[in-house]
Amino acid sequence: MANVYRLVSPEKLEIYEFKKNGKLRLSKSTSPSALNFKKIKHLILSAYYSNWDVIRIENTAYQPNERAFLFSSKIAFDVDNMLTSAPFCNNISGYWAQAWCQKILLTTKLASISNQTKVYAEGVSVLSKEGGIYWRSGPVILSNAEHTGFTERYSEAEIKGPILENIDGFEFLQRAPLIGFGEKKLRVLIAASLGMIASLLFAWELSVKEAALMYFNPPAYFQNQLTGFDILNITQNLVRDGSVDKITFDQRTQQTILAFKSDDTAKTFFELVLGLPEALANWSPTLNGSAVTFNRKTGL
Amino acid sequence: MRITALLTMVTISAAAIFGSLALKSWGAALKANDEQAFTNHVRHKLNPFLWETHFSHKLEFNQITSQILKIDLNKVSESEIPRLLTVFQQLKYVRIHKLDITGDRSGQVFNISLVMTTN
Repeated sequence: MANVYRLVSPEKLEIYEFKKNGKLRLSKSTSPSALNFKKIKHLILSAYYSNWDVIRIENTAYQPNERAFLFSSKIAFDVDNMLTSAPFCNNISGYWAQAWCQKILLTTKLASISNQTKVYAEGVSVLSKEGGIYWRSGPVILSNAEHTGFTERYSEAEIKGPILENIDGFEFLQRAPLIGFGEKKLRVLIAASLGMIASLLFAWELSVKEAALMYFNPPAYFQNQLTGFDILNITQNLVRDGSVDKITFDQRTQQTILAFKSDDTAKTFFELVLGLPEALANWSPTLNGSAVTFNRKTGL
Repeated sequence: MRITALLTMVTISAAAIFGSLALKSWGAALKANDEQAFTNHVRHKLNPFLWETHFSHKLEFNQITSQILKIDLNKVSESEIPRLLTVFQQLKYVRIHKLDITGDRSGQVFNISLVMTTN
């Protein structure tokens, strides 16, 4: 069975073996600072850290919300600064009990405690094996209260008999754990996770998507060098001003077509072009009516 | 452990935001320096005003299909033709398929027709 830890005071932490019969067996006592709180599964807070109260509610149908705080009118602290247990009813006595503790007392412990740890207030969860036994729990003395099924506080001056210093052999009842341990940290982690997801989505939408698209699908670059442009440079002296009607650069068919205003002008130009075989070595000119077509030779 | 996770997440968030802002700024600067960026933009390439600005000449813009564009520049003076031919040949995000230069019989001006496909 797992160990049960009892945080007595800032200087004292007791470790108990939790036996199958529900009894606690003191294993050792140590300093809280010497222990890793993350490994603790069950932690009992003494009256130094926790408080509790009981109330009898006649209405048997009463079923308070888990977050309801039955004793808010009795305490001076802000409820937001406390950790409370859910109201717990002892069905035998008909009494309701609820425990709470101030967060400020446990600030350093809360930071290192695991989300899985169940934390109990001693006044609600520990009972001696029989009545009339008194034990020290932080600054107060506790003893079973038979009529409520929980414990009652006493001052040292009231007690005539012996006062036990630990809860060895006592019964541990896993009831009314305090709610909220680790919840805030979990909320912070969830908020940080959501914030991270939101910022990653923001980054993706803002610029990363575009950059990724550019990287994986870079734009196509085209060379738009007009293939027949050199023909104009070579033949410009052979063409009379105003004799050409239209020049067409067809990049798909690799043709350059000079359309003249008359067939005669085209024929004269064509004959002149045939006399320049070296300059137009890459082209094969053809005469077609008033048009001279230069076809780019294949393989170039 | 939790603190580490928290710090890691906060660091990643901050890096993502600042990194994306820097990337956006860098990308915008790159585009601003590219005069032809509009010819590669899905909407801007269909804006005649941007083409007019790029060619520095009035034009008629016709979208034949989603990718084929026809641009007609009318009344181009003889002195403008070499400049425009250079501009056409420097187009990098579009492919020129056909270029017609027709003399206008009414005067010493030319009409240019350009058929091209876009990305």
